[in-house]
Amino acid sequence: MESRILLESTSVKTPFRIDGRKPHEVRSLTCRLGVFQQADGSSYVKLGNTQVLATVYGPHDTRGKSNPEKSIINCKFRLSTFSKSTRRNLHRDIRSIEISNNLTQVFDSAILTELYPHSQIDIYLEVVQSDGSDYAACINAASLAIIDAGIPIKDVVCACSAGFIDNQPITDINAVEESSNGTPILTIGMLPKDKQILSMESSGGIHLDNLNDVMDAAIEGCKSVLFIMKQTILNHIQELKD
Amino acid sequence: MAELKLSEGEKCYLINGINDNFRIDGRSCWDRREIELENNLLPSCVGSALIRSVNCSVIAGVKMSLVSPDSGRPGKGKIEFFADISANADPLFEGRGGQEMTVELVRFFEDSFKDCSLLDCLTVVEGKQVWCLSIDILILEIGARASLYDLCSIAVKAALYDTRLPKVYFNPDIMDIEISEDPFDLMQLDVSKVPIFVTVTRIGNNYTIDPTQEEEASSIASLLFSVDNCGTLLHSKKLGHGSLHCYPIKELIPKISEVALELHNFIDDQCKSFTSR
Repeated sequence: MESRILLESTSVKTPFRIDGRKPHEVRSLTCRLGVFQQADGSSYVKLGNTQVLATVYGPHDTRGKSNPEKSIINCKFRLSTFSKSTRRNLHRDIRSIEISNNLTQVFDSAILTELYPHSQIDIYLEVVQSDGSDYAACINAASLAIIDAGIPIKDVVCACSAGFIDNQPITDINAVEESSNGTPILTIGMLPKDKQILSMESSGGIHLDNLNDVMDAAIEGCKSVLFIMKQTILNHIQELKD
Repeated sequence: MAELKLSEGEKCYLINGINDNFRIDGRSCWDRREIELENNLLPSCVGSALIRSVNCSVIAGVKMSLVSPDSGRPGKGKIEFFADISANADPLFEGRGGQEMTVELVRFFEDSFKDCSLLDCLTVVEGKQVWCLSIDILILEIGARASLYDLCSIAVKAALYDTRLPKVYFNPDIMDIEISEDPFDLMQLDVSKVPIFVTVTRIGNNYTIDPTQEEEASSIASLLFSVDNCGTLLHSKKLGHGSLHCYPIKELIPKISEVALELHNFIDDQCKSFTSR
């Protein structure tokens, strides 16, 4: 029998999800800034059971080619060997390379790169524990680490994933929902103030008529993520002041 | 950072301090910096531990699988090690960077655990099935190389302490093994014999433990010992390029077992406080 991802509840009209959330509920988000001493900027993001560590080094001299007009962004994403329930082999992971490239594009357009010609900014992301929405968690973590490093950025880049199950858009997909057959997943990374979408990535089939609802769900998710991120940044700055 | 360059003056200041048993951060030669240990933080592993000491942090995660044993050792389980330095530690370690270091670390762990009594409690059916533990060491921040070894071994021991394996029964009716259906029917490992590493670093005319990066940069060489809780030396190795005279090393031996026992007791206390929580 196929296990159901959305559970019907008897008392309330809206169905509950496998982890007890409502369709539009984001998992609990914990952020911390400045977790490492050696890096220029670092952050830790825990979204449900997904845990990401991000560090930023730079701007520093380039290794190899340099651009006289702007700084080069170098993003590296990696899932640790013990991040999922089965042990993974580290190298030759195509999905990791794809996410690294996506992140490079996102932060190439978000960071004011033209201020640092002939230089390079390294952003490293390590997923310690993976429980769905890794990419969204990484964007949030990287954005916090960049802010911690004091690198000028257009806005707090925030991201959230959304899916579509049983004719119902759901926000912030976990690993069980991700792995269930044919769940479409849409991850949006955006600059919240200008409502500019920096990254939009989807996988799994979804009817175009429903795309609107799913996008709205993801953007709503972004807003609630942004609220907590801003709170964390303000708290961190307050701590630095004291 | 991976490499730190110090001027002659700075080195001289540091070495003279150590000759008077006074280090730049106020410790004496045989003091260790504070260690923070955290247990059970990765739900996807059967055991895990995070260790932090000033500018060094290491995560160890244990995963298990059932395999058939080596033909020469039918009653012994297997332990595999894998170490990886995250690029978070330094841009130098991006991609495959730092592999020489991790290979050295893994080799040392493998040699130290070769005849560990822990392997005996990993047997399921002798000659047929044993547990294979995959221990992944993820280095998130790298302080001095010499103290990294010590911290990695503590992280691994704490992770093994935290490890709970499901109980497996042999069912004679189907001539196969069955895993207990009760999720709380778990087996804890006997980690008392698991070795820990003690690195002593020669700086000037003295040996010290837990050097900082500055101290490591002005050190001659380090000696790495793997010692179990009875004081048995399981493996040793010299790290670094310099040469060491043999007499001071002989005098060092009682001190090493003292330091090792202290560390063993520290881990036991810490882990007990975790289980009682």
